[in-house]
Amino acid sequence: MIDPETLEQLQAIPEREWGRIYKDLTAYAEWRLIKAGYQPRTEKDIVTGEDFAIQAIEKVFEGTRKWDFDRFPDLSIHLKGIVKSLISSHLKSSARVGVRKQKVSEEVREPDNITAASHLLDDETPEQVIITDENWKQIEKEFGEDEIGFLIFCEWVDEVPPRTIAGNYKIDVTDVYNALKRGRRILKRVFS
Amino acid sequence: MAAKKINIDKLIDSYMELGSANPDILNDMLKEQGYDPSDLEMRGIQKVRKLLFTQQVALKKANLFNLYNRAIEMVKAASSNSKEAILDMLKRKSPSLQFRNLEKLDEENLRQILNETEVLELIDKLEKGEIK
Repeated sequence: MIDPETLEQLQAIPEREWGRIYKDLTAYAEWRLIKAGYQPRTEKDIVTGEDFAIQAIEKVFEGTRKWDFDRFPDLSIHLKGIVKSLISSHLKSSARVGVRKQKVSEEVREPDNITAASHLLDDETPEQVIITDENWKQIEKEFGEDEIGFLIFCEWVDEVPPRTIAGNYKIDVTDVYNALKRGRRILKRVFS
Repeated sequence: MAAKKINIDKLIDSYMELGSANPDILNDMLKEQGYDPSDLEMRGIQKVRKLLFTQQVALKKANLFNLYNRAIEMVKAASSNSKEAILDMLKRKSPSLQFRNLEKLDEENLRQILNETEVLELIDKLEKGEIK
């Protein structure tokens, strides 16, 4: 059961902020499912990112995953850690059969770049994908005249944080996002 | 350009940071994933409201249970004179309930006789030694 101090902290979070946390958590869970290339095998396996967001929040409210608000004041980070662990357990329980989940838009129904690149995954380091010299040439070509977009994409692949990229190029984060979104679609084509 | 190994986890985290920092970007990501951001936000708020309510009730129930049990422990530990005084008081409050002694009094019995305020008063009086 939750302790009164934690409940008080959770109560102090404004409803609007809860709405933002819920959306952020759902999007995060969806990305992790896409990354894992998860597909349900049985009806019981059918889950969405929102399901994991709900489970994570419930666990904090029930006190089964205690939130140490003094050490980690950002609840979102704590919740994302729970989502990550829940998804990992779910994947193990459904024997990691590579598939897609149920609730997706038409736009992303085709294989995601990351899923499509899964054949390039190194068994020993499954979190890594290799972009070859040939891939780079194709990616650059697809960006065409959008040189800045290509540079932004390269910096992102080099693990420069998007907000730092925005600062370096003196552009809005939305422009960085649009370049990365385009880059993701290009990757999807390159690896499909 | 040379071949490059990319760390998918790190890239997802950095991509997600954009959504966490900018509501428009987050909404765009969610639309791409097949969600209606406004509906999703409303469902989230409703879910949290329900969880807050449920946990508040559960906590209050647990607090009350602890409160009544504390009163019972204090009553049982009281002196013989105090016990008689308490027994008289409880009989006055609830003549229909039959009590020969306080040893068999449990949380459920006490809850039927005294409301939350009254049990708090009883604890207060026992602490101050006012029941003799």
